[in-house]
Amino acid sequence: MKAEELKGHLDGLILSVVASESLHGYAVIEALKQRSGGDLALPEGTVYPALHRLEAEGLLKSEWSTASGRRRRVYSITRRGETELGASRERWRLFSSTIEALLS
Amino acid sequence: MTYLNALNAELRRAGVPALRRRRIVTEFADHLHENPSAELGAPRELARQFADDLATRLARRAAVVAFTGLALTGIAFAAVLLIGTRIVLLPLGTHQVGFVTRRATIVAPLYVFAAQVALAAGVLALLRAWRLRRVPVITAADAAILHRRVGVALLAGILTAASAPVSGIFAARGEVYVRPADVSGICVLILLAMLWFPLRGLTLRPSRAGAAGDLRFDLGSRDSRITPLRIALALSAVILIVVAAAGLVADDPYDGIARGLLDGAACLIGFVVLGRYLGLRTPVETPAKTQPETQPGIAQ
Repeated sequence: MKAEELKGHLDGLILSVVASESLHGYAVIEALKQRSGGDLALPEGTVYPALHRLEAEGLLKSEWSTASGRRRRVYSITRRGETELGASRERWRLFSSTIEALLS
Repeated sequence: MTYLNALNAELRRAGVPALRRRRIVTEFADHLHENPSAELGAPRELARQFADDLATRLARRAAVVAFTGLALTGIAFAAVLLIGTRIVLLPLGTHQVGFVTRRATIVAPLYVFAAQVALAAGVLALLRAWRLRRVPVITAADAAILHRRVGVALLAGILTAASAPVSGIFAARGEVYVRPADVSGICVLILLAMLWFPLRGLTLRPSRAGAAGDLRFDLGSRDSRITPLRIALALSAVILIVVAAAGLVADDPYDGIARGLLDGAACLIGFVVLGRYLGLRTPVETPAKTQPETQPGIAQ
């Protein structure tokens, strides 16, 4: 799956992986890869602007933690983020069922 | 040049603040430590994405903050005037009350005109920000318009607060009271501090090209018959009618008509003088920040 095809869905995907547990940037990308069975092919760096944007919108919150002497930013979902994730899932269901109906 | 150095340089060039830069570089350093061969993407493109998001939020926030600041200033002055009125009505004996008449006469026209410009520019900034609320990355032209409106609103607000005729109200020593001059000074300082937003907007601007809409866009009109000039004429006519009617109610119709004509003319003059600058008249296209094509050599 190419980055272009992910446009408009990346925020929802990030929210869904962070919803289950607090993760740092690299772990978010790894979780996205794992959950997609390795099909997600996007420049890994593009996830960081999205993480920052989601945090600015109040959908994620973050804090510094230290792992093996290195500082890393750990992200977790907010209540607003959970609400947005639910709405995002609903939008996707509607979209995919419509496209499915049209294509089949 | 290492990847992280290149990223830091591009972030700085894009106008990303130092604190945010440090955070981004730390996050990318951690990522590269986990996976040294990670494909993170071109530093310039990443810096552009961060800067676009920040610039869009800055422009929208500037409008909201400036409008809130101006509204609170208006409320503060209204409260001071009300308190002043109460003091006048009460037999307070030792209280010395009243406006400094000469000063008020000199600054009153400035005060009235600046207050109207502040209100109009502040409302227009908020309106544009609201229109663009769902746009992920606004154009450089729209950001420029938002910052101009905020800048004009704040400067006019500062002028209003500084020249406010309420600064002549005094109260006696030893009493607990609101000193209007202090209120005026505090409002000026707060509005001055808010000028940080449009000044920051000079260096942090989205890279997206494209034209900004005019007054029709602000009002959500797609009717080609409704032109910005016609809107300004209609607004001036409404002002004239309302002020003239107010004069009629106050048993002074000639004064009402004179004030209505003056206010209506001021509205039109404001439209002519500031219309293009504030993005009211014709779509304004501000060139997006361009960067040279050459990429420095990057070693991950």
